[in-house]
Amino acid sequence: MGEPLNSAGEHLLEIRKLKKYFPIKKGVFRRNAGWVQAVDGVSLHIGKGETLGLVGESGCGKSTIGRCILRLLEPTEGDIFFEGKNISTLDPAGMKRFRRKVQAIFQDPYSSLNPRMSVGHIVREPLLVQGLHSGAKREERVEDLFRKVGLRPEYMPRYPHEFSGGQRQRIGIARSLALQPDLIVCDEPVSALDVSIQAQVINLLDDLKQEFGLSYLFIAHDLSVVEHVSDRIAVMYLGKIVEVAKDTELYSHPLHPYTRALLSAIPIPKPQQKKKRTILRGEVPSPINPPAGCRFHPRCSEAMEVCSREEPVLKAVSDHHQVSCFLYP
Amino acid sequence: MSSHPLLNVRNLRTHFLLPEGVVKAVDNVSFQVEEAEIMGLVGESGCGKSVTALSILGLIQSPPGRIVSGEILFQGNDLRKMAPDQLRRIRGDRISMIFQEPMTSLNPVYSIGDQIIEVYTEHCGLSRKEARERAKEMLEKVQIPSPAKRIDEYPHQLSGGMRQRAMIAMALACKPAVILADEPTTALDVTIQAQILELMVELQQSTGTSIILITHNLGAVAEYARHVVVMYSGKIVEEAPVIPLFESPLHPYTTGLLNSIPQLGCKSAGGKKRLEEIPGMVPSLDDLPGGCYFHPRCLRGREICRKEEPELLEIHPGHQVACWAVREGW
Repeated sequence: MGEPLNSAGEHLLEIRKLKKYFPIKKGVFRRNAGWVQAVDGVSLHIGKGETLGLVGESGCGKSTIGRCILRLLEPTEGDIFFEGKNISTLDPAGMKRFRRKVQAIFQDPYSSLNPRMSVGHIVREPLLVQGLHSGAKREERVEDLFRKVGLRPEYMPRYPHEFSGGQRQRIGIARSLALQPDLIVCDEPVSALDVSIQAQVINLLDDLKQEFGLSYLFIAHDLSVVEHVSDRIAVMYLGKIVEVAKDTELYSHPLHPYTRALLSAIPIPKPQQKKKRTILRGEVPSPINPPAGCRFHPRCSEAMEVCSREEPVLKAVSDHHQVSCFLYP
Repeated sequence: MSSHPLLNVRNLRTHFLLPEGVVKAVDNVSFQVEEAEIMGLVGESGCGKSVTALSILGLIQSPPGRIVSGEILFQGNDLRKMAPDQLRRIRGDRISMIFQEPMTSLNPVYSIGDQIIEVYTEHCGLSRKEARERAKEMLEKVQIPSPAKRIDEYPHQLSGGMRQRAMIAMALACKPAVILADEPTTALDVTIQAQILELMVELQQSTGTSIILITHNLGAVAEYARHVVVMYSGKIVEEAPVIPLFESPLHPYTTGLLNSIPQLGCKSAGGKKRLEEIPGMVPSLDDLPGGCYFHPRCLRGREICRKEEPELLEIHPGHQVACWAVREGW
């Protein structure tokens, strides 16, 4: 179909200038009264076997990106390429293949598992839909998946309500692994879990990545968790990427004032190490009428005159570090 | 009078009588809060930290809940022995509370102003007009922009952070001696969390109030608390001043918790390490193991841990721990 070829062939996933606007409907005739600019011109890529962390506060558009990648939402503008193919122009066969290759793990292990299905069936369902394996072979595969995520296969006939949050999250992970995907979009996979269970799930995700060569898009608001799991981290603010860097680089040399504030806002469990804190003034503005110029400028302690007039673009400052801020021309 | 600690909880047991059996949500918990201090109460969900706070305020729903035994001494007087109207006068006045979810704990049909005004008219005997002035001052103190306008707004018109500020304004209205803050920032974004915590500490220092900071966020406790109580399955497993608790924790559960959280910057400091995990999960309160409740998940457990329950023992001054391994030194 005259598909533009992916220029950088090594990327598993590439997002180009993605925009997703949601209409605001008003009145009896549901006339369009404006747009929520949830994602506004985001470009990102994920390499094979790489974990890209995506952090930001609630409402910054990080989950919307995840949903666009999964094609649960259609982008308003921009393209998403998976293995070099534009996912919005795939034919039905291609789409079926794509669904197998890209899977998701959601935040709330309570609402993301069907309460009327046994957990065995929840994990089996993707295999049925895709027509993979049959009979004894399929059962073997399901049992195998249970063991992989640290659950006993005897649990298969039970229902989701019989499990704790951590166990449910493991069931969700088993389901996402059933079709041997290449990319898993993890949307806040541990934020609903207790501290001691978080570590178990993070370690499990790590082990599975090593074993199956998976790539993750790891969406979360907790920077310390993201730093731990990711190879590269993208920081989002109000629908835009403000900084992208290698994991350690982002922590040791944060450049964007928002990233710095975000890092300094996190309390660390070391009582003798009091750190100086940049407290951000105000709150995240509404994405309906985002501020002109740099979207962060009303809260930025280093805002200059140019920041309210012009919009900065994401520029590379070194090989592994891009930032969108006028402080770094 | 000053020989009494401000709040002294002694052997508190709060149980819930359910058809399935007795759930010992809080089981023999004792701690003290001194004047003008921030105490951290940490633990995972279901460990009894919120029930402890509700017990102090006499807000346990009964039935099924019941404070079975124990004393809650506030300035030397037992809150449990007080008549309901006496307790009412203390609650919201001398002892107040900040809840986790400000959307569900503020009344949606009253403006935030009305809700703060009520505190003043109820407890301080102010006229509505005076109370309104004071409420406005309070909103200004918690840094809500344009308080004169915001005072007439309803909870749904405010953002999560603003609602929590309104809650704090309400809790501080009568200059209470103690504030019980139950997960005050958990529902908020990181940058707003920092704002709210700083605000609470600032106000705590200027008014000399004590705060019991109930949270699962160990970082927040490390930064703001002076002494810390760690709970597990309804019991206190360790209590210590903040520095020893974080620098040299003794209970295997405390150590496990501290090692299981990814720490910012650790990766750049020493390469990627695997997180240490605590195996298994928190036991259900209606099906607790015998002996030490933590033993099925404990790596240092031995025979005795399965049979006998360890008592809290003071190891260093102010540092108490309930663990056989520490006590016996294996």
